[in-house]
Amino acid sequence: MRFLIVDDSALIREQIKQILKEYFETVEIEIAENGVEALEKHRSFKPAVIMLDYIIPEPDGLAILKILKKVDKQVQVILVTTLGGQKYIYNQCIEYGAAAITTKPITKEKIIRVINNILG
Amino acid sequence: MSKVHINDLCEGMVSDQVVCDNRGVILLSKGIVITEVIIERLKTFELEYVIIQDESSKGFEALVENVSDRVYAEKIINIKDTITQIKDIIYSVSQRPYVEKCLAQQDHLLKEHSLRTAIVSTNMGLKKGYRSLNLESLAASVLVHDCGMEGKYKEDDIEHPLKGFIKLREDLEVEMTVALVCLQHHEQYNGGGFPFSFKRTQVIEFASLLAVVDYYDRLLINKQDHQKVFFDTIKKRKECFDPCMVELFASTFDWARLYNIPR
Repeated sequence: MRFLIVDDSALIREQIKQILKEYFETVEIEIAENGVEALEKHRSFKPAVIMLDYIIPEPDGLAILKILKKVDKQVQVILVTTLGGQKYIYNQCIEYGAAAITTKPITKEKIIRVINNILG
Repeated sequence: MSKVHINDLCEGMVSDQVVCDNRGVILLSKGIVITEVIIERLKTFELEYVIIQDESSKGFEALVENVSDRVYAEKIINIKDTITQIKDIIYSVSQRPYVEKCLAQQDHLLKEHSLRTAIVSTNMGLKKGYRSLNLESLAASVLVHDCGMEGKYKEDDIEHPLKGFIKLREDLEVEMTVALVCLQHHEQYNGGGFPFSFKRTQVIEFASLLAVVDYYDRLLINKQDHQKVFFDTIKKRKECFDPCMVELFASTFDWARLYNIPR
């Protein structure tokens, strides 16, 4: 399974990477720090799942989600946000095609639960 | 143009490419007559080949000369001190296969629009202090920003940004920034643009810059008066365009010439 982790925080990227490595037997992981890099890595690495931070530089997570769903309907995008309490953000992400949303701070339980939900 | 091995270079040949080192510093400009000193210098950088001018090279160069002369003469933008550098950057990026292919497919009107917007945008990039690799990326993006129009300039084609993005994205040699500029150059600061109605931080900086220049040039294509076009563009600040980009655009104008004030 191929994962792309998009977050401008190295700490969060590393945290998610460790959780995925511990949980999946075989997993390939790529990382991106901003929106442009996320699109670049999506093109070259072709991930099955993207863990996408909502607030990233150039362009932001929501814009990246819209573009990704336009060019690749198969990719599963999980939005990761600190703004979880705000219902309109949740609705917006779902409307634009996010498979799921999870909130920061990241925990192993949250990540595994959300991935299992979308992968069935 | 022809590709000549470094050992076969002779004095008197004329370069048809801009040669940069790996940091983007220009070692040889386009249109420079090759001398022994230049050959020795290029050998120290372990270059294998240099593109040399022949008859076919002159068409594009003449068009760039012609368009840049008119930008200065007619459009009241101050490029006097930067035009040599701008031309070098444009010649350099026009050798990228996807830029070359895209320009070759464009009709005269679209090619001139691509070149004019590239000249004005690169001038703004220089004013903003972008480094050489960013300037090249900006110029390449602007030269191909209308590749979704499939070669013909159209006034109301709202599908071309997405079409162009998909086309550029499929070519793995095209940087994603270049494809994104194509996708986002009709987005507006207030979210009123197309194709995605992105706003503010959802639009990358190069696309915000090009949005201003593209609007200005499209008004000029419609034969509107220079002063009117300039102030129409400035008025769209905040509503359609990033205010910082409008200020940058205005800073490249020759105000004395705009108001016909004798020097």
